[in-house]
Parts: sequence; structure tokens; C-alpha cells
Amino acid sequence: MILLGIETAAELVGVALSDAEGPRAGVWVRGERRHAEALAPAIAHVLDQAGVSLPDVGAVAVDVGPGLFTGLRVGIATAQGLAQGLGIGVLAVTSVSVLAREAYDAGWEGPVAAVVDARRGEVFCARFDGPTHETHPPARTDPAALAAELHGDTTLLVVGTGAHRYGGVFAAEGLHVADIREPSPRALVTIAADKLAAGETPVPGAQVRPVYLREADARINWVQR
Amino acid sequence: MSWSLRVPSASPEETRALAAHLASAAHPGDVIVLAGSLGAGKTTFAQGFAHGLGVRGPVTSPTFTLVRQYPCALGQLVHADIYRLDQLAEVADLGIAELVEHGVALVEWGNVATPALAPVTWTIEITKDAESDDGRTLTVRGDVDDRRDAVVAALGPALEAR
Repeated sequence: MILLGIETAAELVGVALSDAEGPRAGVWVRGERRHAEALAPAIAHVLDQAGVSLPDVGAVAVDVGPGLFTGLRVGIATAQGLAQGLGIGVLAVTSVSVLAREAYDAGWEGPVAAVVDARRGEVFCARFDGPTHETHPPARTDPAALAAELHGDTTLLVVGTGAHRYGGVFAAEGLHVADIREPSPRALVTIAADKLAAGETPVPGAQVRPVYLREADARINWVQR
Repeated sequence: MSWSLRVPSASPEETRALAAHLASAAHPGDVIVLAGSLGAGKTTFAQGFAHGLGVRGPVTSPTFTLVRQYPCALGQLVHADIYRLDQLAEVADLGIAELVEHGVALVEWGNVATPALAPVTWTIEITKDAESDDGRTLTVRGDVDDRRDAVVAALGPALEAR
């Protein structure tokens, strides 16, 4: 099956295609966050370069976060629209699992802390001890508190946009920080293909939800309105 | 140490001019809350502020679009209005924290949702004067000491004129 992967959870717009033999084509653009403007042309480009027409796509894989709210919405809405239009399903993949996958695909064998920048001085962190084994699910935390908790664990690799932004904080606690920043579309489709091979069924687009991990919700106390 | 400054304005034009002066004290990453009842002049203030940041073209109320973005001297001016929202999560979902990384945000009615916007650089409350239709009092509040100095410097000419 041909899989179309959409990666917009961080400051990168990425698209990749995979088939039975693995990742087949991909493109990514990092820089000024213009997810809405860059994504559709990137999809068209990748399909064109791979010689694949849209109806040949069998499922859409999308990064559901945690990550940038604006980027996630662009990516998930696009995945939902494509799936609806093509009558196919969606595979949801988390940003932290994509980041961990990149570390393992690069040959790392120990545990991985995938750390995504959450803005306002916070990060989202999930921990893995293998490419498909998440030991700590993604949670919102303070980078200094996280670094202190992981202190001195030299078996661990710290990756992600949060690891990059707070690299000094993690290094000061004796931790290894890898130069893996944004989740990549290639690792995303690799995970999605593995999920399919393991028997996971793509779901209708309407069932896909972003993983925001924002603070507890509350009703606004409107006294003036 | 939190602080506040009160500045009178006799007309919408004066409010726009004060806002444009204040804009010169803004930094990238600032989240500025605009408080005040309907018709107090929050959008008028936003227009002046935008002008001060070099925004070209009309600045209109974002009540129905929730967020409008304009290229400006500090990157992007993010003009938001949460009047139509009911939950703090909806405010958080606007992603203001992401949008201001490359700019400045002005959030109308943001005073009712500060937990979803923090840290807020300044809160500007606009109140109507009892004795005149056009008269307003602008109260600027902040929590960072040196930003008070910057506001005083920016508003200096306007403050001294009174």
C-alpha cells in the first residue's frame, strides 16, 4: 500500500511517501512557519516526483503531536480532507514516537527522551526504551525539572525541538543531546508502515484528534460580556 | 513588582496616538492584553498600536475571525479577540504563544483569560469617562520593572503634555 505521510508538528513542513519497499520519496522545508501555504504544494511535488497519482494513495499518516497548535491543525485538517475525498483511512502517529524512531534508525540502542518545545518555557516529554516501546507517555513539564530528573543518565539520548532549545540545560545535567530536532516525514511513514504491517487499521479522518496536552480547561468567567 | 500608569485620552485620535507611542516600547514576544467594556475603544487602540509598528492598510476588529495577523516592524502583529470564546482551552488553542515568537500579540478581552495567555507583558484597560462621550482613561499595568521605564519613556511626550 502507498502511504502518504504529513509532518507539521514542529517548525518543519514535511511530506513523504512509502510503499512496500519502504520510504520512496519525501520533501521537507524548515524555516518560517508557513504550514498552510507550504503543505499542499509539497504534497503535489512529492506525488509528482514519485510518479504517484493521488487515487493510488492507500492511507494517510499524520503527526498528531504534541507540538505546534497551528501546525498540527494544518496537517490534521489536510489529512482529514484527503482521506475523506479519497475514501481512505488515516494513521495517527505521535511526534515523540517519530523523534524516538529517528534516534533508533540512526543506530541508538539505549533509552530515548523525546522532548518537544511547548513554548512559554515548557516542553512535552515522552520516554522510550525501543522504537515501539514508550515507557513514559508524553506529558507537559519544565525543562530544568526534567533535566534534573534525568540527571547523569548517560545511557539516555535526548532528542527533539525542546532538547535543542534547552540543550544547555540538559548538557549541564550530564545528558547526551542529539542533533535530531523536528520530527521527520521519513520516520513518520516508516512508523505508519510498521503499524499497518502489525495489523493496525487506518481510521476515518473524523476520528483523528490533535494531542495538545494543554493545561486543564475551565470556563471563562465572563462578567462584562 | 507590579506597577500601573494612568493616561487620559480626550478622543479616539488621541487614543490612537498614545497606542502608537506605546508600540515603540514593545518587544518581539510580548503579549499585550486590552481590557474594557464594549465601545471603550480597544480596537481603536489596536489601530494606533498597529500604525506605530508600521502596519499598512486597515486594521479591523478580529471578533469574528478570532485572530488577524499583519506584517509589522517586529515581525507579525497578532491581533486577537476572545469575545466569542467560552472556554480557556479555546483561548489556548489560538496558539498565541507560538504566534508571538516572531511578533507581538494584542488580545482584546484577554483579561478574562490570563491563565491561557501568560506571561502577559502589559494589560491596558480602557475606561469611559463619566463626564464626556469621547473621554477615556488608559491604565497600563505590568509586572516587570524595566518595562515600566520603557512605557514611561515611550509615553513621555504625551504624559508631559498634560
